[in-house]
Amino acid sequence: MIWAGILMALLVVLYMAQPRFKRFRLSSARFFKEMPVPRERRFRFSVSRPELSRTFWLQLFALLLILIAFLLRHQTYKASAGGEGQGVWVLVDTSASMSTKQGGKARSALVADTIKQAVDEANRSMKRQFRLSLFDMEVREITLPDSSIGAVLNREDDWAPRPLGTDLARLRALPQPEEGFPITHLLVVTDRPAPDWIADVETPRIVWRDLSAPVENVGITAIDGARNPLTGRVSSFRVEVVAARASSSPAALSLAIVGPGGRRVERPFKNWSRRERSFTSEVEISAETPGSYEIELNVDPETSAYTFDDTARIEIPASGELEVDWQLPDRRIPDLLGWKTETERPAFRVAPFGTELNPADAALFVAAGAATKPDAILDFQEAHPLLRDVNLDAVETLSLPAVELTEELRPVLRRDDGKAWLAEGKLVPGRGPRFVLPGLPQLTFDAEDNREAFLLTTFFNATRALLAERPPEPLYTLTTPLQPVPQGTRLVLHPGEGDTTPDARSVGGFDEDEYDLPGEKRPFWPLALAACAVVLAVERSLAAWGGSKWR
Amino acid sequence: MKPPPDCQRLLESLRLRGINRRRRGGSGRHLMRQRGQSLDFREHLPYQPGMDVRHVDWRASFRYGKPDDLLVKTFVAEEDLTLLISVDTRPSMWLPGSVSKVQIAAWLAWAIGHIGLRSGDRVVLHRLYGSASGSVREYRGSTALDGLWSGIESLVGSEPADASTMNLRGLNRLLPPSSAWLVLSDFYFELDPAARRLAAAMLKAREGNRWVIHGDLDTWPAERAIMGNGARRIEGPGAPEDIECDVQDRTIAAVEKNIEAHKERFRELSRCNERFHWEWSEEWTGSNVDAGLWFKENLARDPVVQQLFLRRGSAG
Repeated sequence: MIWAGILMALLVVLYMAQPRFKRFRLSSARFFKEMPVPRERRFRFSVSRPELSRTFWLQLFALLLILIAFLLRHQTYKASAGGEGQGVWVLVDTSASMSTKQGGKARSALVADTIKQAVDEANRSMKRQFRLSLFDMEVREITLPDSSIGAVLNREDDWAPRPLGTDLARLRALPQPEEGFPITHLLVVTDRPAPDWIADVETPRIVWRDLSAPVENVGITAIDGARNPLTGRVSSFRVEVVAARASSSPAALSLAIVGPGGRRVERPFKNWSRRERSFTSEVEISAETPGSYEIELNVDPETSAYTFDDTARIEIPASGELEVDWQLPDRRIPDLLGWKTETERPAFRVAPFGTELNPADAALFVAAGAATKPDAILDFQEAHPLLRDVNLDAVETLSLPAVELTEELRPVLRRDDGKAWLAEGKLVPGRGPRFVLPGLPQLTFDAEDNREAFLLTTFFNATRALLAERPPEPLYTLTTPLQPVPQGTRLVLHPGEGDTTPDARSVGGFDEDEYDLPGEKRPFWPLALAACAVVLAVERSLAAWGGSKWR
Repeated sequence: MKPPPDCQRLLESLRLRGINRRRRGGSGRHLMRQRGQSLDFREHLPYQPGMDVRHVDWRASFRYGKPDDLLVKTFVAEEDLTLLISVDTRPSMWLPGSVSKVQIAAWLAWAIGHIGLRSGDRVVLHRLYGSASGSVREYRGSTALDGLWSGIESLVGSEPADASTMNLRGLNRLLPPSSAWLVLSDFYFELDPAARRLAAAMLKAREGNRWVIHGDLDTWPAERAIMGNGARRIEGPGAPEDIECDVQDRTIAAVEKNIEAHKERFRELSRCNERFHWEWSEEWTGSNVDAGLWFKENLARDPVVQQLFLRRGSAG
């Protein structure tokens, strides 16, 4: 309302700042030539100006009605009496799986019949009011002209499948219905079996209609890249396919791959394994060259009811060389591993313990000096990644240097006097991961040398842990409600969308109870706009025929 | 141009009233209408060669005159009154749209001309501005009544006259000694040489004992009411560009003063103080105006118009 007031004030000021000079033709016009400059020019914001014009107030009233229409655009009024009956919220699945061919038709084409059947099963004389929403990875409200079942069924075009996944959890947290529209039943029409949680929902009563039927389908279910844990480089990728509801393994199925250079390779699927109602197989494709790979299943259309999982496109990232800011004088390790030096934006920094670094940087601190004597272990963090494959029994004999713990560090492996051989930075938002090591391996590769084994293991454990913090560049992305069109490496490989094996599971039905229903509600803003039109028509009519006082 | 309202009875009434009533006083410098027998004695004059010896007043000559002088009786000549009606047809006279000044001027010229012709006067219609061709039309006798209105219509025309050309040539011929000159105008003259020539002509006529009357058709009250107050863009004759003006009460007063001063200056130039003043009603802001009724009421009660038709009365 504050904004409305400000807008009104602005309109008044604008009106006063730009006065409408009414035109008159007078025989005495010559005698106005000597009049002073109009006051509106000297004082554009004359407070007396609006009082002098009746038409101004009419126009202002019309503007007020427009503002009211805008402000109350969500407001409704009761246009008819309610009575008793049921309020049904129809929720139609529009995920990609609804495009699955089933008996020659897409599943989405069965929605209208499913709704009609569900309603017809119940007491047909019962008065019901309907509202309609669509769901996939989001819930979308559809505005109906009225609340009849016919209005719902007429919106068949709206529930065309979208290349998105299904998020059934959104049905558990549906937005509150409009005030005054009691939802007594949720009618969910989908191709997913009814989940168990609906048994826990008492109100509104859920009527779950699974219109799916098991059909044969062959499709890609997973694409994984094999990554170097230290460099993140993808050297190959694996493609998994599933032949759902197949009576036997598809012997002739192959995968066509077109690599970055345009070279086409065809790889047959072998070694099928049977899992309940489907067969699974996979192939591994070498991806030495970074770039785009197009993948296409050589599948018989008769056995592929769902088409979004027949092709894919992935991108093998070009990066793979690790760039590190190595601040230690001994450079044997980076030279041996082929790490590149990068001081501006390295993957992580390696520096002597105590060096001041940017808190956001990932870092590996190396303690300096030597221990005076062996010491016992005070405590350690179980299952910590730094301690993987570490022989803790040998640690107490190694005379390793330890560091005093600061407020920013917490111990991973602590010796008896409270100092830490291994430590990590505390997890604080905005701070990069940090580890403290007692020293670096000397690269003797002597299997009998416990100290060398400990330092080598902890160094690579720390390196892996630091690199694990970097999210690997994905081979592909999935469609989202914001980007629903599959394009390039944006795929429709949402989990479960191509799974055509489950049997349909519908539960629930309409009861016979009646509830108080509100009257038919209609939006308020058309009334305000109609009133505005009437006021403007009256104003114009008065201006035309009402004499000079209305001009 | 709308035809004049039906007012035959009113016009006849005005004519008869003029016959029956005598002008009081008879003073002033206006000529009175003189009709009938021309044996009314005016004065004795010394005989001059060429005078009619039959008019020598022997008795008076012997009684009052010098021995060698004869006194001759002179009589007031028998004269018809000439009514010269000048109609202003400049653009300002064609406003306001509801009832224009030129419309009322035409009706007024017709009404006065009608009474004049019925009274046996000579009526001359004169277009003040515009083309000189056809700017004067003369009528005499009751038989001319039929063509009077059509004559006025063609004289006034259907469009405003060019305000830069004034028809004053030969006006002296139209104004014999016993004549009245009625100028129907809004008197919104620019005081340019042409208007000054008009004022000079009026002054000369008045000094020659012609009766000069300003018929002031004043639409300002109606225009003021139509315009109202507030931000106005005013256009019209005499204003080459639109005038944007914040019209307030004090603006109205200033314009009113301006108009009156303007007219007063013209009156001073023409030294004319005989005028009638018809004001357009403030109520005339719409199109539903009964102009005919208003015209008749004004005509019936206007003293100057009535005076125009009074017969010569006895002195004293």
